[in-house]
Amino acid sequence: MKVIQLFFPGTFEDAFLYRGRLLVVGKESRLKVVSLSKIATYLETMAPSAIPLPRYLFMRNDWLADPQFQSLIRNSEIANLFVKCVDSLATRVKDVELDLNSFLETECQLSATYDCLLDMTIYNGRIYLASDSGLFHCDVDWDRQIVEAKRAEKRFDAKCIHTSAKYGTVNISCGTEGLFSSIDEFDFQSRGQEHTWKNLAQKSYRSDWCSYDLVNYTNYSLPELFRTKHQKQAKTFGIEHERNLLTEVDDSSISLWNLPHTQKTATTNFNSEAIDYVYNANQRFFVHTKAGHFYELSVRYIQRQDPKISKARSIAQNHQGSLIKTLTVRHGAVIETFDSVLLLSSQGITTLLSEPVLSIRTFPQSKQYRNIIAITTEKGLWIQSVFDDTITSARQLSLFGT
Amino acid sequence: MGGTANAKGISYGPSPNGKKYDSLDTHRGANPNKSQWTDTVTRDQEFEIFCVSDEKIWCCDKGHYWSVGNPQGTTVLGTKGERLAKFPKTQNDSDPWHGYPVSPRLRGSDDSPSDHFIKQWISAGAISETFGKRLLRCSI
Repeated sequence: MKVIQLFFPGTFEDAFLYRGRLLVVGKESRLKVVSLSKIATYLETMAPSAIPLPRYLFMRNDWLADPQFQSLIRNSEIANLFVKCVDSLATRVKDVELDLNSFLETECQLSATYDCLLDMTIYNGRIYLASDSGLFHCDVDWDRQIVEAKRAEKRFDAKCIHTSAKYGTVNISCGTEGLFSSIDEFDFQSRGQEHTWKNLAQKSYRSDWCSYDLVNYTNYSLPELFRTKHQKQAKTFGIEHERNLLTEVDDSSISLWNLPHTQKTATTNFNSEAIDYVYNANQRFFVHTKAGHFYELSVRYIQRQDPKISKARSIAQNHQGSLIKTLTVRHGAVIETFDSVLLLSSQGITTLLSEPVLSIRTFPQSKQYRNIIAITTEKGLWIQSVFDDTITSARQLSLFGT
Repeated sequence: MGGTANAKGISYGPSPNGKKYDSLDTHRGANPNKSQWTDTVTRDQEFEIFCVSDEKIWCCDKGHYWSVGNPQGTTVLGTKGERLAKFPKTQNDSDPWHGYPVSPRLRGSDDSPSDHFIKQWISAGAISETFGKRLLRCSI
């Protein structure tokens, strides 16, 4: 894997890529909206021999997965040329400090009153800020040439650690206060009900989706599955073009470890005491044990039956030390450890950054930014794009799929 | 520095503010059900960590003292990767203090100072912003 990284020094709290922009939250909820197109144009000026790669890498990752591109790089000369361009760009931007303000589209104050931003997401155009003093949301007019953010609105009083959103629903994890969901957050289903938070669990440190079901992490090694009901709609809704909308979440959950297995012989039985960290990317669950092994499990849905764990396999070994956070990019898993950020891919483990990070973000639900990682440290902001350089050799099946 | 052996472990003190301290055997391998200091933190260093907390009055509103090995939290204090130390309030002012490594990730808010305390720690520069946010998220 090749990693091309841009560094913007400064004091930032978090960053998110959305609709052609890089949104950077600074101290006191100051929002900088930066044009990705301006960044790509600047990179093309810096490294003309790498044109058009900056756009592929930092604006349109979907073009790299496009069948036309895949067909083009079957020609080894073209594939080699692309890898050469990637090397040229990576060398040119390495150790260069870019000024975020040079690419600024607009800057505004979100007026959310918190001391520490703990997580953020943008869903259906709405910015959600999870903080020590609660959850805030901020609507943004994306259709203007220069986006305009409205004043932040407080949505929840307790400390929010994590947010997740899909299918018209927003979930917030509030530690020992619990897991809360706002179903039909945008009134897509015209239910006309007041938007209230449904308390689903007494503890939650993270949540994510497993198909249409909701996974709650009551601690960093214990995932519990909430079954849900959804409706397929005749038309799509919102900026994310949701066709399936959540209508209900069960009141009770089942531990992932209590799900039945489809194949007795293929499943590793985990001792919960031996598990360091679990995370899921949709139906794939990744388990890191205290002994340093990584395993992958899949949850399989068969019509009218309870979900089952279909397989477990070892995918990597010998990574000692606790994981702090794990995320997904197209080419693998991005792992935050205490003092580094690693990429676990079919090519093994690659170090992305060797320092502790304030926040780290990937965009697996997006179309255009699936290879990009946004990392905020106390020194500044890193935007990294991962490029699979095995395009020059025989096409391999990705470990993590797409 | 050096302490004096007693029935429960090693006695130290007084600390900068006149407190007695016991480095207990129960947190040094005698009771595996309790959190354990890692071997890389000696008993003398355990007392030093307490002294820093006592000197800077890192005391929460419940009366417990808290400390870290260093501001970035890179020093691992416990055998389960704990990077925070808790010194629970004594029953009587004259009782010796003791402490052990804790992890908000492993035991939640019971093993974490209040958010207010952590934010004060960050503001005072006692811990880095990154370490502080990780404590607030209970991710370490």
